[in-house]
Amino acid sequence: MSTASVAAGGTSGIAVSRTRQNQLLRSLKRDPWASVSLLFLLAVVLAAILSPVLVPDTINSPSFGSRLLPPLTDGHIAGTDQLGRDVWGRMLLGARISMTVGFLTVVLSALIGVPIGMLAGYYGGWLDVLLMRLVDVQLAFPFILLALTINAILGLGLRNIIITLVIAGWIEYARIARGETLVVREREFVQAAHLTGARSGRIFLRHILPNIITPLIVISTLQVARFIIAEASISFLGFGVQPPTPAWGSMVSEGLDYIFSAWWLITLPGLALALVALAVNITGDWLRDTLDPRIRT
Amino acid sequence: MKGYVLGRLASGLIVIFLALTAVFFMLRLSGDPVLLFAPMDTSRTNLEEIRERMGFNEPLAVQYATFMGDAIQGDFGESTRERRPAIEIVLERLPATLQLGGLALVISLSVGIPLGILSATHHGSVWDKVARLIAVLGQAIPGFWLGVLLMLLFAVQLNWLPTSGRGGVQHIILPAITLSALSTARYARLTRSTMLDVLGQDYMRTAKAKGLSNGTVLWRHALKNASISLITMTGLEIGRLIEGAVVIEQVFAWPGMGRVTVQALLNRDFAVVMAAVVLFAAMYTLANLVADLTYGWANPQVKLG
Repeated sequence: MSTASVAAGGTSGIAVSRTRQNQLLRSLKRDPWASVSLLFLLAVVLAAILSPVLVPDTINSPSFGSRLLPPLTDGHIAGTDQLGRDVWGRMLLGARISMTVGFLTVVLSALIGVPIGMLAGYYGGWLDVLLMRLVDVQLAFPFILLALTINAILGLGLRNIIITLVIAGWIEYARIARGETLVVREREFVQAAHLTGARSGRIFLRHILPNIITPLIVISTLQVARFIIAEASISFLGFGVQPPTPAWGSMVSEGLDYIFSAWWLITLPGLALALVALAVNITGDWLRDTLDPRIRT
Repeated sequence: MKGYVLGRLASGLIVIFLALTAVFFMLRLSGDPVLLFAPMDTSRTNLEEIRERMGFNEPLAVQYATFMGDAIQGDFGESTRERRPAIEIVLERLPATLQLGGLALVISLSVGIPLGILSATHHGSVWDKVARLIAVLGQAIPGFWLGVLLMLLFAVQLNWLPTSGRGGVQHIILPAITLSALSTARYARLTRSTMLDVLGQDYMRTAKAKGLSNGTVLWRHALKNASISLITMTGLEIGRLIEGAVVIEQVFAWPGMGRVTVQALLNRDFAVVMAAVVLFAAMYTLANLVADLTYGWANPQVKLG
């Protein structure tokens, strides 16, 4: 973030966002990969939204006459599975699940994690101690194992998988918001706002949040990819979304039984997953480079 | 130094204690814990009997104290499926996981670091492009799918290697490569960026100006300084490998701790799950401690304690 936009950050949010928009558009023109990735993601989101219209209701009913057809036969672009169901249609429905999980988990984790992290960073005290201990525990605990355990206890299904990922994922936001707040807290404009008697809510929303939002946005894009892959891995392991509802991860694991006869069942849903994750990461890298040249990982 | 190690061990124990507490309360928060421990088809009267036997009728504080007291002695209860101590079931899978994780770590270190160095010293070359491509793909490709792809190619199509199980050397190749892939990408990425940083430093120019050979400059000056961040990363990386193993072991039916945990979760065998959780947390804490100690050794500026 440039010094100019930092200085403006506390006072005028509108001017900053307009400059930022121009900055984003200009850098998008220079980065063809980011443009392609964004367009691709847009297409996937659109497909996810429209999938109930695009895909007939009968998609999950078996049709044993057309079992395991390879791609591009009888109008099945991506072939059919062991029950004769159209793989392409199921992949479109799977996009809906992946996108819902990616979007909701990131928004919910941020909504929970960021306020807690800001409070801990600003006030310190017992909340800070508790948060840092939680961070330690979370670091000592494989994320996927935590997610699986919560999922096994709460029960399976899309709603619970989102809850699971939020429980496992909010700490990351809290950790980053805390660290950034610790730095911003010491800046003159925050001190000044405090001294002039601004209410705490105002200090948090108008002075601290605008100045810590950039790393949070960058982290969010990376988290989207992480959460989507986590959901797919959990579904692959047999937890999470249950059949016949198609999720990309469970489609791969169901296809694994037919690895000797039907390559498309395991390759195509996984490819969709990898492409989405790749596009999200490329977009995230581009956002990071454009918004915040300070961060280099 | 000794105080530091003891302190770190103590905080590691606190973390494990907190992890156990979290699992204990998560199991209780789910409503009726007996439903989690009893087999699906248990009748009502049997449920009461199990509830009594497992102490779920006791006050929560008593249950917690008993649970912790047993856990400290390594007793996490009996597996509901196999009718023997849960810790035993998990411990006998430990060697398989250590073998797989260890090999994966060796692969990622010995591929990722040279790749990162090549990419930094030949900035903009083909090597650089390859390393960056691997780093980008490694971040995006889900581990389980990479495993499935490798299986499809090398086990099914080419028939060079077995699809799953544990046995000879040929069995470990595919899972180890799959597990190491993400790690390799991260090592290549980190080595590249730290080496680029180090190569731009003044002391590097001095070393070259003194007329030292390229090899000496690279090994004695650049790599030694870059190694500090690599060591820190290895502590974290071991944790990530453990996490990856949970999924990859399932793909290749590798009989390690990850697979036994996933199976236990699917079978709702929570005694085994808890034993595994503690063991995972312990491995992770230990790995980070070793990384910290090595860090102090590689970088004398860091005072431990």
